[in-house]
Amino acid sequence: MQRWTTILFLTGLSIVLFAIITPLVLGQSPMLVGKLINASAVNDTGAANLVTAVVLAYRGLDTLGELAILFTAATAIGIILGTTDKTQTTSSPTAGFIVATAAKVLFPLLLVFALYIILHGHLTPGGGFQGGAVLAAAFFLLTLADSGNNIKHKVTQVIEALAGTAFIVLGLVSFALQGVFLQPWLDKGELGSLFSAGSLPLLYLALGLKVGAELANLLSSLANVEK
Amino acid sequence: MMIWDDIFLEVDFWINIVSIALIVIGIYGIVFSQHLLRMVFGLGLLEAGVNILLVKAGYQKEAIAPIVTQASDTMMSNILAATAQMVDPVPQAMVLTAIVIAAGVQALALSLVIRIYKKYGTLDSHVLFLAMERDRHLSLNQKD
Amino acid sequence: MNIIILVITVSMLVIAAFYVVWADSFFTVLAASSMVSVGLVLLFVLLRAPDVALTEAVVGVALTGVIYALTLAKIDLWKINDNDDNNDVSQSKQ
Repeated sequence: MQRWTTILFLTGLSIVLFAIITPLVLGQSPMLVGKLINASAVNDTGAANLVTAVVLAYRGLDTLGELAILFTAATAIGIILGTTDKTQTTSSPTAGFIVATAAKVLFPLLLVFALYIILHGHLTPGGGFQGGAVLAAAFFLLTLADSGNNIKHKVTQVIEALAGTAFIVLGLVSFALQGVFLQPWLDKGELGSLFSAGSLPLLYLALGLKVGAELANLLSSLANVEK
Repeated sequence: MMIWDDIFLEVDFWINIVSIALIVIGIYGIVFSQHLLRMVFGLGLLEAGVNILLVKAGYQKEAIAPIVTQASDTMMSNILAATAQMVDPVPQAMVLTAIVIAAGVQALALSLVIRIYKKYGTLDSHVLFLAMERDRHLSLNQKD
Repeated sequence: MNIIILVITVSMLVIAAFYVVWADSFFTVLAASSMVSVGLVLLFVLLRAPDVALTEAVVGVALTGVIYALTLAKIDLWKINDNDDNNDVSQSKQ
């Protein structure tokens, strides 16, 4: 009996969803703001990647709120699981020699890759979120290979606080100069070069460091909880 | 026969199918499964389906990715001609942040799962319900 | 040509989603959920969203997989076979 009610429920749900979704015809976007942003984003911000222009310039406040949500989630995980800086771990086994050596070789390459993704966020696909995740993975790789060197919670918290403050300070400087919070304010430069798009790469650097520190913190507190 | 072919060759149709399938399977996982961990996996599937729908809302046929490449630079008129053919970047920016938030939310849910397992030693929702009811009665009796 | 890739991706996604909800072993579930993320990456590339595809590849495939794997290790589900205790990965080192 319960099986049939389940099937009935799921079928009804699919039909309702299909009826809601199919009127949204592909290619006829109901939103008009996209066309306006496409037409003026290069002039306004100087970023070649229009998604970066939307994330940091047009909807910068949204990104700030998103950072707040991520910070809340990371803090809640810290409260729930408890953050303990374990200095010596004898119980958990270390990975083998090959994994430990490969982690040491891969770590600088991953760091370079993460910084490349972050700093080229206004030119190519990528940016602070992706680069931050790679950064966190790079530091967590060392912990996975050798459980002796943990990610220090104090260090990541300092980095996180400084990066978050830098993001807001960049917005406040824009407020002092132009009267609008979080508007691009440095020289736009030449389109397509590394030092272009004004303050957007700086914002993305702060965002990437903050996301990376938060995710590393999160992974470390998940890995360190004792059974 | 012709109409059938048209429907099956339509990008729109397949995107709708996959997003609806992911949403429905995700809701099934959340509502009908007994294991708490599988509920979190269902939440991930649900988020994936919604993300596909959001990205689809900005897609246009014969359009290019919203990045000004080197081939079309230097001349402002060239840039404007290129950006007019691009897809809508606003839903993509929203999905970009939504994916990272989804990872944070899932990690939060998983940490709750770990705490529940440490306290009760099981993750079956029916057993957990009984154990929590028993704990509630015990705490009520202690107050009296 | 695009439509063939799209159909293959969609079927892969749906099959992997079925495995996420109905598979018995949580190893299979973890692999299938990473598979769903890989399918999403392909789909986002086809939908002209390279930024979202890169985010999904980094966060959805790698980071979420690591988080789930850590959780499985903490709640004693990180084992190949439930009947055989010697298959526990954390014990196989000794």
